[in-house]
Amino acid sequence: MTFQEIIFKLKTFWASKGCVSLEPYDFPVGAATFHPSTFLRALGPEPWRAVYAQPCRRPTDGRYGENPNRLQHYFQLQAVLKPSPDDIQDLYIQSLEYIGVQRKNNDIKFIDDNWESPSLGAAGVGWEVWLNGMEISQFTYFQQVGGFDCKPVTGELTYGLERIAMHLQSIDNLYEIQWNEDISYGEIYLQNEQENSKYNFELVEPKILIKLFDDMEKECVNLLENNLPIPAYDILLQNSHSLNLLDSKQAISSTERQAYILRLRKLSFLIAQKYLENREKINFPLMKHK
Amino acid sequence: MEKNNLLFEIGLEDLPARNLNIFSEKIKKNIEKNLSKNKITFDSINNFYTNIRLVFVVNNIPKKIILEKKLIKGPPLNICFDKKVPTKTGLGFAKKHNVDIKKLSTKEIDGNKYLFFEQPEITINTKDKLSEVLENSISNIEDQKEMRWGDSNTSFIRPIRWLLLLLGDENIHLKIMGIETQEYTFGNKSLPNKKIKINDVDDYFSKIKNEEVEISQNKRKEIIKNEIEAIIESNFYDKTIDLQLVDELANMTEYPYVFLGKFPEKFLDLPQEVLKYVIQDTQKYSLVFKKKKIINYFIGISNVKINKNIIQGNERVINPRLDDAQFFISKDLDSNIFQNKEFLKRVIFHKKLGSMFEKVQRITKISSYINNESYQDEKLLHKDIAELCKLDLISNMVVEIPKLQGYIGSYYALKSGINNIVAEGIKDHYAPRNPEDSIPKSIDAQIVSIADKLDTIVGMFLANEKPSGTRDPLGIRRSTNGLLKILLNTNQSINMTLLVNKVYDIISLNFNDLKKNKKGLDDCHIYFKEKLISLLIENYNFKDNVVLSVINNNKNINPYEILKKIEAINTILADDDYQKMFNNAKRVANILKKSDLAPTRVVNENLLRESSEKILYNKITEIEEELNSSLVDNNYIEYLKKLNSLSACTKIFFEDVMINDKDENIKLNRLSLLYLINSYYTNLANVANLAY
Repeated sequence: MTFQEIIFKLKTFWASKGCVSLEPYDFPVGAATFHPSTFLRALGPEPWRAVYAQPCRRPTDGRYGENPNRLQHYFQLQAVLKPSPDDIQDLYIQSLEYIGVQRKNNDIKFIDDNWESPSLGAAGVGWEVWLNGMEISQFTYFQQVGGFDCKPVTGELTYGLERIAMHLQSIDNLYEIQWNEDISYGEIYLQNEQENSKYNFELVEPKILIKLFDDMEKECVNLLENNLPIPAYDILLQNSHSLNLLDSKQAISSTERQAYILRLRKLSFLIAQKYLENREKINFPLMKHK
Repeated sequence: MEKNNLLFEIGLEDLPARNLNIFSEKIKKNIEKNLSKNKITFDSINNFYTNIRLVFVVNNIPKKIILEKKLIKGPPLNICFDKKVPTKTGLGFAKKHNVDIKKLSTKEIDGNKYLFFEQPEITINTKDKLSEVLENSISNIEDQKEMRWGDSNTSFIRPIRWLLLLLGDENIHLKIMGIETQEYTFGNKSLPNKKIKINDVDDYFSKIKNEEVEISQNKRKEIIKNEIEAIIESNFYDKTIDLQLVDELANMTEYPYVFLGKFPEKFLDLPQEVLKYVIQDTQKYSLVFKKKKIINYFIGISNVKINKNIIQGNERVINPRLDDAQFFISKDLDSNIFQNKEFLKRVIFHKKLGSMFEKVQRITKISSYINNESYQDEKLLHKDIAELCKLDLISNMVVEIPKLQGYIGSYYALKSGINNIVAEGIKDHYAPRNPEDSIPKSIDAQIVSIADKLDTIVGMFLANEKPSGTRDPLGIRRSTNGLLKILLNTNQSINMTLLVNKVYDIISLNFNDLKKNKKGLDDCHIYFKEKLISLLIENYNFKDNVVLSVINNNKNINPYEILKKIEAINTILADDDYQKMFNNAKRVANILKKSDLAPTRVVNENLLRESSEKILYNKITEIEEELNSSLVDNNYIEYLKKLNSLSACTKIFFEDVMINDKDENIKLNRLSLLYLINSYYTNLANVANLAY
């Protein structure tokens, strides 16, 4: 099964379970959780189901295209279900069967792994899903987002698409993944990995990013004062990415990093609060789909 | 009366594998407690668990409970009514038993009248109580982090997916924490998801067997252990099995299938700790050894019957992880971490205590002090260890996997030709890393380990980061336990009180704020003393009074000497002969406490009148020198023996001599004689406290 087919099929599967099929977010994110369809929609009482593929950037994971298992730019497929249905775990296993991973002859384990994002003020309880020993998904019940208790609770399923494709195509090098029948993953993304690794590790200019972070933080506060949490959130995403770049360039110490995370966290709390207020003002319009 | 077995199964999404046994036991205890509280009798409770179910069987529980009628005595009648009008007391008693006060009777006992309640026979249907019993048993679990799911307010360790409840062959339908109990269960997740109807308790155990479920955790452990042993035997591997891992693996499955996997031999060059971390800690495979070295095989567990696909999949996972480790290590070896000592300036130790670079400077100074005071080793290898021991913190490998600190530094040190003892010391200065770990092998590493730990602990107390409650984020409690373990086992006499003060001085040099925190320093002294006391009582199983008789008697804490003194006392403790000495000591101490004079160690021989006091005085002067020298030589048993030789004369002294002579001088002289003796009774330990 090709990489693109896996995406099609997983999206089809979850669409058939009532998820709206969305597109990736257009700001850099470290994980699909940062897509507003997860972070913002997990807040408040409104029901929500969505599925989307999301390219993610983790600058420190770059290996100049030389490691067959690590990437600084990769893909997650995300399904969020709010409230999490009682059969969510079985639905997840069904989704694997839908792409050809049968439960009767594959060892699928759910390994205890709670999740926490200090910069988003978010925490959840959940698992790593292991397919024959390989971590292929993260499965999380959100307990808190932006400092607010989640009620109802969102169930988040995040598929590591490259790993699943490697399993299905029985290969050891992710660059050999067949994107479709003709073109490989490496043909599309190898150069991207090489160039971006060089940028992330060597050419990031800390001064620019630190100034950008400070300026954008001001912008974000201004937007919040004007009661615009959605664009404010976009800025939070940009700053989060700047911080990851500073990290990959090893431009900041661990204490400095901690201080930056606290600044992001403060903003995410405010964004969550404003977003909730704005939704409440319009009477939580999605409640009618309950 | 008809009795049945009760079956309660909680079906869940996967439970954390660690401490599942403790969790299950807690619920079992809660059920016992709540049944008893509701007066429901039972023989015993069996608990079973897998990764997705918790099962409890209550044996021989009656369907009905009959509480016989009985008379319950109330308050005296005269305070229950005031001129025939019921008082608060009277009404209170009636209310307590849920009855109108007019329906209560009176009875006379020993001439006084009392209010009485005749409680009629009560029949309780066990069934009616189950909801309360079970809900209370699973909703209040001590020290358990809970979570919420879906749209309900229910919270539990993991989402509950079904509840099965049977009393004998009867399905009981009720709600527990808002979830309805059912008459069906589900099988292993690897089978199609379908309901399985259960008719009675026996039916449950036979049906669940056909669903790829081994419900008994002990049997699953047996299966795993036996199969690993079979693989080991047929391949002539070392017979080492990590039983803690077997426990965890048994908790990760409903039915365990065991397989042998392989990885490329080239990775065997990696440090053993890296292999262990990747293979065992992260992937949960059992390591395979030959001649005590890890070989390129591993043993894994599957929840599904083994096929080629499963083995290949697992084999494929290890490679990239080991590949990554190899990538980091070769990068580190290229850059030679030992040449860049200044890099540690970028690693923060603690915001109030500066960088790791500064910590290393302090460790170096403290190590030298310890060596000068106690070990007096001339090779001075501790200097090299102190300087190099933290440098792996800037290596790629340790930044990636912090748990490997020390192991990696040691490995790199050997690769770059650094002295073996120093390389070992880099690893060992973290020892003991946990309660099972032993202390550093070389004295050089012991010195640095003591220095490093003390710098952390004293530093944290000065920075007001002392541990509170059960939280210990900075590992102070762990460091203290490790430090004391070294001090108790190193065969070196180290005065910890002076050492702590020295560490305080060294830290204060650069941090004026911390220097002012005298309270922090005092707290630290107290903390060490308390920790030492509890360690000696809890881990060494010494008696409280023995430990305290020694520790409270020493101004300075010297753990090694304290231990030797306690051990010496322990050898004589059961001896009746010594008990007499302890009692004498107690008597002496009491007399001195009561006296209003000020005796000294100086006894005037001319004032000694009675022969028995002369004998006692002669005896003490005769043995004084030996007592002192045995103490200097740390020969504590000899000291106690000598001291005991005073007992006979002391006894006669007490029989013959009246302390309170009319002549004040004679009285004072006698008290001084006792004072002198007492100084020996309290020198090694306050032996008066050892009397029964």
